[in-house]
Amino acid sequence: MLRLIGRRLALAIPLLFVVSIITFVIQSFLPGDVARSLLGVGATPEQYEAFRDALHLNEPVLTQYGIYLGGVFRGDFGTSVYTGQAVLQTIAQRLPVSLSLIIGGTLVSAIIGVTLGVLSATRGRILRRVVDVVSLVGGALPNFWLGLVLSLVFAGALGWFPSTGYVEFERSPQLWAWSLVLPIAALAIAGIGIVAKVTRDQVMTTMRQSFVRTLRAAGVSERSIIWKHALRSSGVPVLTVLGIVFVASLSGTVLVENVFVLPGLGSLAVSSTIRHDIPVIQGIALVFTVIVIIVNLLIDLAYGLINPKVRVS
Amino acid sequence: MKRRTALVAGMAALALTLGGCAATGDGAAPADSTLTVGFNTPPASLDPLRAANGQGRWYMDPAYMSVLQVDNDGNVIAGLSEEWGYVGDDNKTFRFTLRDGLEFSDGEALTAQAVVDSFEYFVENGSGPTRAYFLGMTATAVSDLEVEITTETPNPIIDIMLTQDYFAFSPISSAGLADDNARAGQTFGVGPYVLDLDATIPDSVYTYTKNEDYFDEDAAAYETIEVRVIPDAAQLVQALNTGQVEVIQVDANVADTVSDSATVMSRLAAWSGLVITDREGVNVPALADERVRQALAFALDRPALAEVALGEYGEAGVQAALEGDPTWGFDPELEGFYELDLDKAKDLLAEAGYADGFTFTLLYQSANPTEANLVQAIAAQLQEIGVTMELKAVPDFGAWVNDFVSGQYSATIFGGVGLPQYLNAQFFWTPQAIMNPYQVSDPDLNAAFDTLASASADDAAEAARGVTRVVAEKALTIPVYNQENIFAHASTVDGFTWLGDSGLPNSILSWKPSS
Repeated sequence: MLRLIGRRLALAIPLLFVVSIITFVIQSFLPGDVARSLLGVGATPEQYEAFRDALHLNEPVLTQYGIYLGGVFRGDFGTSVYTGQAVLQTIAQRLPVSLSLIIGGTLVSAIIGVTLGVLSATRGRILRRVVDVVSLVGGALPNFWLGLVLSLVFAGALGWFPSTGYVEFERSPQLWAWSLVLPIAALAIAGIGIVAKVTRDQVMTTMRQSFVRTLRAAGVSERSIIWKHALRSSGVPVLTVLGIVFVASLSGTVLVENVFVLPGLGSLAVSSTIRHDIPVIQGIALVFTVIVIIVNLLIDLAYGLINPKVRVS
Repeated sequence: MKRRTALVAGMAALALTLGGCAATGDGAAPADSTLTVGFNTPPASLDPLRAANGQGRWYMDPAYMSVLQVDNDGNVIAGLSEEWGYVGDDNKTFRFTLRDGLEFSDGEALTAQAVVDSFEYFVENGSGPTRAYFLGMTATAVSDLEVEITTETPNPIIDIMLTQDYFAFSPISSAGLADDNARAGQTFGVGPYVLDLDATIPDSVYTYTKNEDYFDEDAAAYETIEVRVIPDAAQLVQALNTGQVEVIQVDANVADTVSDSATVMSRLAAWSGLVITDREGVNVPALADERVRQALAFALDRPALAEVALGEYGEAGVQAALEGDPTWGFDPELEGFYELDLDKAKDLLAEAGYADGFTFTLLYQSANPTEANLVQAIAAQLQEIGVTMELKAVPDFGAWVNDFVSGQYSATIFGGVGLPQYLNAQFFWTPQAIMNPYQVSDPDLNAAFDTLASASADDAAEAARGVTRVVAEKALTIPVYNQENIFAHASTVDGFTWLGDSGLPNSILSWKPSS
């Protein structure tokens, strides 16, 4: 187990390095000029050049990257060009919002998806059709479009939920949950469909295996066979899908947070990219990469917990 | 059975919780004394040296009080100073006296020298839209509380330039002046509110809390002001309709979706059109001839263009001034000065030696859908007289500034608001104007501007009209339409009105919870 963790962490370092290089190079090709945007039309040529010098924008891209990397090694991830706020502080302020959304979306996908999958595997054809439809529709509909529709109906027309904004958990747990209902719903629909489908297929396959007949012959209740034995046996593929759902939610937040005006990392990624706020873009890319690495590691560890054979191998 | 009961109880509790929450999103006013304002863009910066004026002041006014203010009727009234006025009658020297005992929000005493230091730093390092107005102005502390301002050339509106829309005399504390980085995201002014960093998420929510040490206890009608950034126009309206924000600016495309319970106000706020920059014909010789520029002005069907760009919230515009305050320079006699007349346009081109037309390039921001629609329509109309207007699109403001100051492009789309023509002239047409990258010097314009600069109060209106007339007659700029600003506010807010004759709202500090 420790060796697995060590190996994964060792691989994470070059991965982070590669991601930061790619992000830096890509953003350097984006059109626009952060110095002009920030200084405005009233800046003198001297002010403009001095500002570009201060931001190292007159240096070659590789030199700029070297300066950035040097700062990272010293624990300095830079400051936002626009707000003057340290990048780590900016991310720390917004990470809880995105994590609430991603973890909430993945949990909802897991709970509803697994329940639907198991029921459709064991309760007949109609439910199987429902899962197929949910899976197809959820996968086909863009989450931002779904978010807009949910917002129009449940916030605009019915007034049940807020259309925009986020309430911190510390301020009001009730309003916090309330502000996340629609965004999580928009994010989770696709996940619910795919998790339900994979769960159904796996449980159906498992239920045809000989150990299930043995359990039935031994007098184990059908509920226990399904929810304890069959589900556990189907766990590895379902976990794999949940990992994919989690990572997909990470990218989904970019659009969903914008639709619901949530102050998370996704909306920050969009605004920072539009404004060429390079230190912030770099910081977000690194945080997203770290989250993906951690989630993959946790899933690998979970495989071992669910299935001892995986642990041995 | 127990599990099922627990499940039912849980569902019931959830339903009650949801019901309770739903009630809060039903358009009710906030129970605490908080003003919530929705705005479609975050501030470019909270630094007064770079801040945007206009509605951008919603981020600045709470924390940066100015030496003087403009009241709801457009009159200059006391701010940090109670006594002010010109010295002599040449419009070159002005004095004001600060109130005694004022402090910045960080506790530093506000002295005349602090005001001067802040002003000098602003002029030296600022790059915002108003900095250029203050070049050639000098401020000196003549006592602990008294500041004298002198200008190289006569300036009839120094009092207006000391108000909140210009930032140069909204002083910054010495701690703020010492930290360029901090100024972008914190506030260092003398104001009834202070930015609350713990409750502020840059680019998303800006929270201002009452400054208990501010000299005027009545200046803060709320305990807290929250400005929420909601970029999408439809979401902004939805936030107002569902009670999440109380005041918004409304995009014309979604104005009809504002709830009936809100108050919607609209008023002409800006003129906009073709700003011809290459008036000496550096890249396009034809544009140096005023007959050619006049031909362009006669070739435009303004009512149709206004309809394309703004629908019912716009109208044809022919002069670079709005109707309102006399200092803005609006001249009723210029209305109809350029009406669509293709024959006249062709004759003028022929007289100038361009009967077969010519080609020039216009720079515009593609991210602005109004501009994008408009420039296509203008190009099509100019083609009718044989003039090809090629379009150079840039994705954002930074790219636009970059290309604009480069002097490669002969024209752009831009506009002005209701401002004294003395300031508009320095922004658009005088040789050093920001919008004059080729630094063209027009003798008629310069003479009209000099007359305006030295005009007495009685002559200022006619002198301002004189500048507008020169701009129109020589087609230095070719206005196309006048645009309305639309605002909406919930019934929970009192005191929201227009700022004088302008299409801008009054100061956020004038708004109060409804009684």
